[in-house]
Amino acid sequence: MADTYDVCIIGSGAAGGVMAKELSEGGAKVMLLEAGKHVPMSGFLSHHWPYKLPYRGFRDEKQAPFRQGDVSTSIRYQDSDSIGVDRIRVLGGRTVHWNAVALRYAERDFRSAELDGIEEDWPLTYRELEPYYDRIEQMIGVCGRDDGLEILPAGKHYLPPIAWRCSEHILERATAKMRIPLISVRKAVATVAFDGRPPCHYCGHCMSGCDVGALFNSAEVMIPKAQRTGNFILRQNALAREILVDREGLARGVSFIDTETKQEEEVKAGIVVVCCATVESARLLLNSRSPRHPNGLANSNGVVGRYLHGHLTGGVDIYLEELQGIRPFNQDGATDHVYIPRYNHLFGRKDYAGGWGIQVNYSDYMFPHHAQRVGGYGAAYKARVRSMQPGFAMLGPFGKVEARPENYVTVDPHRTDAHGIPIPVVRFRFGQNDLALWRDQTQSLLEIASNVKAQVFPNFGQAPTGFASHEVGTIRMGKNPKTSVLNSFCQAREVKNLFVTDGSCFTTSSEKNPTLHIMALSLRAADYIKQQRRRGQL
Amino acid sequence: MRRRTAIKIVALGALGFSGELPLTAWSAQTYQLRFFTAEENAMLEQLMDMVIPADAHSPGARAAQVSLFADLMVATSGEDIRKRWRDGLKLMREEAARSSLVEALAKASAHEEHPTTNLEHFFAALKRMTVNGYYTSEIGIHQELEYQGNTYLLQFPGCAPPAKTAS
Repeated sequence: MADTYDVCIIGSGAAGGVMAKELSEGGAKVMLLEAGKHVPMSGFLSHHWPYKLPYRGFRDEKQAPFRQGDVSTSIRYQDSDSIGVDRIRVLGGRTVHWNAVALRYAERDFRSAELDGIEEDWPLTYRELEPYYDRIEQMIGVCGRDDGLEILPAGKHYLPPIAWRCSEHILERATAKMRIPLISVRKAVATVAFDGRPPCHYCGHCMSGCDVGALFNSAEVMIPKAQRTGNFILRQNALAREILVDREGLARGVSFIDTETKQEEEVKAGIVVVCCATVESARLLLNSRSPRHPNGLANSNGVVGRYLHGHLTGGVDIYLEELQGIRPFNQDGATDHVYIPRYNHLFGRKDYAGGWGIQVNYSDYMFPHHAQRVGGYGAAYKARVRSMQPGFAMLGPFGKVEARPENYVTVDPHRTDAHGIPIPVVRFRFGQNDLALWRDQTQSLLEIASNVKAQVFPNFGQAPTGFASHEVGTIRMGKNPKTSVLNSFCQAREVKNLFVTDGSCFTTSSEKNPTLHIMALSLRAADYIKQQRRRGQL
Repeated sequence: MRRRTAIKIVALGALGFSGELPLTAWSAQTYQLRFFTAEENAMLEQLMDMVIPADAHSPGARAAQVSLFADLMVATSGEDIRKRWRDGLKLMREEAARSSLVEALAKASAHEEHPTTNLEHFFAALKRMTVNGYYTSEIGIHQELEYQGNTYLLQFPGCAPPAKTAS
């Protein structure tokens, strides 16, 4: 491949998709390397009945099309608490199976050092990112409304909110008593026809792939727009091995393996944008060693891979008495219809920093989850399971986890994947702030549940779990060059033509789902790249 | 079933399959037992039908052929899990020989919340497998729970539940 591109983007998910669209529309010649391949919407197994699947779905068969090769096994956890990271390989990245909750960070979420005395502040403010939130929301289509909450800033262009289920009205009566706001969810799903996408058909299968594209999926929205420019080339099954540098230590291209031919190839580019997600992006930089960058690319301070964090979880299943014994009716919907924004700050100071938000009912309604927990067996047991099922509701909190340098992704030089690339190793332990927050979160969930007439089954044990597919932070932006890798435009300080715009660029996390924030940051970085190119700086 | 918990299971290869999955369901008519003997399967069928029996509302675990689902799951599991099932069924048979299968199952389920003996641990595995197989079968989903979803709606109706049934 002798061609030289203006930009090589690695990864086509939330960050890579918007970057590809913006830069190719801006006139740059763009090559995108995607380690997976396009799984067309007709190839999603979302609507398959369990009894049509070989293991009835218990071995995650609906996700199998997104987990090509050895992606599930080529990773090692060491010295870690009960956490998992989510790696898939498919065009569109994790936007093929996200739940699409799209939340803006609040102004305070950028300033945990100043306001809470932990971590570091982001190198940018809400006001600086706000125009990009506005633009990205209009690109992806977000339903919801402006609820006037400081903790959850709103846009001006929401699609109509989703109608609430009975259980959500019942839960709202309970939270209202506790003065906790419960609002319509903000989610990147077309509730009316939008940008060529049909409206949602309320099957509840958001996280198995939306088979009509009502849910935003980078592969079906951003990539086609990039392709229409004529400036964009997509290489699928292209697994990046190493970012190549020139004598000055600047990026000059990417070496990758074609996973079908097993051949190693090279693409030359003036700018490299890394969008492989938190674990893989850190792995790629750490595997890109050269005389100018002996510790890995842009890693002279040793920060690449560090500050790994995500969300802590642990919710409750609730079986509302008001709905039990009702003739079964279709409650599938679009998974979440409502959301409980962070509220702990409304009730006085805590002995920990941060909070949690609660996603409500992001679960399927087909399987009776309580059947494992209702005691006994036989006819009475069977009837009880049947009677309880229509009362099902679920609270799923996502709590803030502190970004700490001792939690990291590294690479194992002695163990390689199927293509000879050193695998990532994950090390993570929850910290004191995380544990204190988690204890308060679980108590609070039980208190909400105690305000409805219901049987309640906690989904947590004695310790928090994570990361709910929300891992971030391993190639962080920051104000301090000693404790960060990137500036606020996702540009590597040591390698000015290297950008990292996926979740690994996060300085810290709030309790909010990361994807909208990732896309806004990537959009801002794309604007910066276009501007710098116009000025001849890149 | 729930992706956010399922993603913790990363080592699918270790469970006995990797790479391409056949995306068609197995057919009970042509299914050949892969792990359990015919005798073990007959006993498992009986036990599972005691856990979820037929009633006036719908058929039970035997009609839903849950033991065949169990056979496939166990056959494709690790050595330790396969051994636990074989040993567990043997324990149940020995216990039943002293009294009856009905009494053996009652004894196995006696401390469901805090199982300690091997027999009690086997009950937990038996119930989990029965629940997983039955409520993902056509009978479990359509006849027993009368699940109305997995469909295409033009709009979501909001809260419009039917009245409570007389039961």
